[in-house]
Amino acid sequence: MEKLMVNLSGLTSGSAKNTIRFLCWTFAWSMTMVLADKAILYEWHSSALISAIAIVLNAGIGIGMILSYLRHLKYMDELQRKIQLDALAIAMGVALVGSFSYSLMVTAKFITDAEVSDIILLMTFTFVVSVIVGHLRYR
Amino acid sequence: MKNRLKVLRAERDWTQADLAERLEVSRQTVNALEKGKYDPSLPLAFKIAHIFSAPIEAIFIYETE
Repeated sequence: MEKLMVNLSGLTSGSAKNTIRFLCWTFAWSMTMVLADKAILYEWHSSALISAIAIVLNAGIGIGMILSYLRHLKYMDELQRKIQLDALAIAMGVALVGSFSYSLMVTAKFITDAEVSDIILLMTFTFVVSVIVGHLRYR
Repeated sequence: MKNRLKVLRAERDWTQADLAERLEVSRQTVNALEKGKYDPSLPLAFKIAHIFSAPIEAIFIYETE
């Protein structure tokens, strides 16, 4: 097993390296998502095949991002892993409850232009805040 | 659960970073353990006991509420 060394920031070097790798994957996934979305929306592609390739590429990078996150978790120590898992549980709970409330609001016509991305944004925001709160709690 | 981590570490003149390196965890984890904010897993508790050459029950004191 790769030996984990502690650096000045308190993160293990393996963990820090995996954090950067995970952020790169996330950035690549976000960019391909935006590009694929805009290309389809504004019909930049000349054929449906290119759109399909863009979607497959985005999904492939998404899978890479998931694997990178799992690796990122593996190289964390147990407290850091607990903070991440607590944040994931909160984010998932908020997304579940939030999506049903959102759905009810759409049914009640309080919201007219519903977007899946709103729930994803809520989930991401909740996850990031939960990780920060977790780190502050165990500081 | 209380523990004697801070005392044992001070006896050896180790910093939190020194202990973190020996345990292969982050300094934040050592700090949280010392402050009693986080209880270690059994493998980590054994590792701590091994590093301080002491039985687990001499380092961690279980308290009923």
